[in-house]
Amino acid sequence: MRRVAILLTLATLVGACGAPSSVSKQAEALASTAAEGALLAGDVADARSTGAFAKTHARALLEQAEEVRAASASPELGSLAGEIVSALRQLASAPTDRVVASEVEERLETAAKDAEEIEESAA
Amino acid sequence: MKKVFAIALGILAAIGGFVDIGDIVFNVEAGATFGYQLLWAVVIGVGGIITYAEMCGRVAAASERAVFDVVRERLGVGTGLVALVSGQFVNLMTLAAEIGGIAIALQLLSGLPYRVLLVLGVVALALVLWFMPFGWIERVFGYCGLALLVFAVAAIKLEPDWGSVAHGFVPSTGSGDLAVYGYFVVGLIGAAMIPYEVYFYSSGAVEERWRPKDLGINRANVLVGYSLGGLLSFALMISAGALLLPAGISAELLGTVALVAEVPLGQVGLILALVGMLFAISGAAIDSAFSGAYNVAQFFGWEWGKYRRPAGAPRFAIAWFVMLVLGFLIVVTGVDPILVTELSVIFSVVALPLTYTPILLVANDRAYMGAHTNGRLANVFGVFYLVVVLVIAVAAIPLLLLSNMGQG
Repeated sequence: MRRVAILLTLATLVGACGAPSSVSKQAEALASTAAEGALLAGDVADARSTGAFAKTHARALLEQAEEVRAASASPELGSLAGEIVSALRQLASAPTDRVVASEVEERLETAAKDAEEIEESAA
Repeated sequence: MKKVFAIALGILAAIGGFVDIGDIVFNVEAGATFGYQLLWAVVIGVGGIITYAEMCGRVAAASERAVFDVVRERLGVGTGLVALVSGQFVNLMTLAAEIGGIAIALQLLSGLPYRVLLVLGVVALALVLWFMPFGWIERVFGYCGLALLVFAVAAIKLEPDWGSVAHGFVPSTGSGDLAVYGYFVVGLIGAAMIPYEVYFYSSGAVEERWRPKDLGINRANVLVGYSLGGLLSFALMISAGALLLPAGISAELLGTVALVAEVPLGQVGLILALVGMLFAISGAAIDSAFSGAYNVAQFFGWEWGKYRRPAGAPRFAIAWFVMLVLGFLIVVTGVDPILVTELSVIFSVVALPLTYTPILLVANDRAYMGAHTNGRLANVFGVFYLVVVLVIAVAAIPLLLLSNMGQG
């Protein structure tokens, strides 16, 4: 019984480490990443962030979107994840450029809305 | 004046011990997922740590002995060994998570590579543990950790619905996925009552040579220190609930926590948040490394204490050094520190009864405590929290599985 419990726990932990598998969960994860990226980009555009923070956090968000892209449950989600990755990469490579950040903010806001629509239609 | 300095012990325990990476992660995730609905769980957790830290301090002052010293004698070697092994396992996981958290905070501040900062962070911790006097550790990490108060300002600036905030202090079953809600209840109480806090607190009291005349300081420490820790937890959850929940953002990164201060307060908020996180997490890493060394040294009857030079307590010094190296080896594999944090908190919940049951037994033992045995109030709270601890210990693993680690 104890072994079963340990195996179940380990299986859950392994499962929890990677990207979610269902369309709605993946869309939810992408909406969250895009919305957070948009907030970050907005702060960069308003000169309210630091270069080190913007670069590091944009990269971390980018990795989250990459995970979803690698395991995407539909072509639509894969393409959306690619758009989010591309926008965040742009922010990470120019973390103090206010003009770039402003563009990235718009792209990520749109991506977040698209992800929410996919999530709602999948629910 | 001496009393004012003594309260610093409580502030260190509160900031460096209470507000550690576990509290930061669970409070912000809970706020992002359930808004203010889980504030009551923080109150339960803070009450629990106040109850048992006060008992530990009183045991130390009355018997001049720390927790594990008494555990082995009171429960025997067999049961004591089980408590020691489970305590050390949880301590090590906590320390690994804290080391990873230090590197992430440094990376968010500097932009330098994570692995380089892991090495720098662990070397800096070793130097602090070796060279810095106890009093300085208290002051540097305790007071710099107070920068986390920026989250209280952020919470106000984000203009939450204060009616909903007040409602969050009333226990409820919450709205949404019940398993996820239960997982966060367990995590929040577990993060507040994580075992290394009481191990460190009681050993620190012995190191400070507390006597029965210091019991007033003990009460002030736990009430001021842990209440302050609780306020910071409220601030983290409220600001996450006000900013992240409406935007549909889940908090899975330490950078997200810093963003919660940056959005309302700009660069100043961001830097204060990162500095506060860095010092609070570093203080907690020091506490957990020392706790591991205290436990093993007290259990086996070795010479121990930060006040002794390493040459005077060599096995104690080796013990914290080994803890540090093992913690580093865990995170250098590339495992996500946030994942390690969540697991360390949930596994610590499972081990909580082994920590808190002996404390309650000893605090009721006249042979150790004399006139300072638990009174009725201490026992009412002690037994209540022991029941809470037993319930969440049983529920922790099933909720971890059912909620998919809080992800639903």
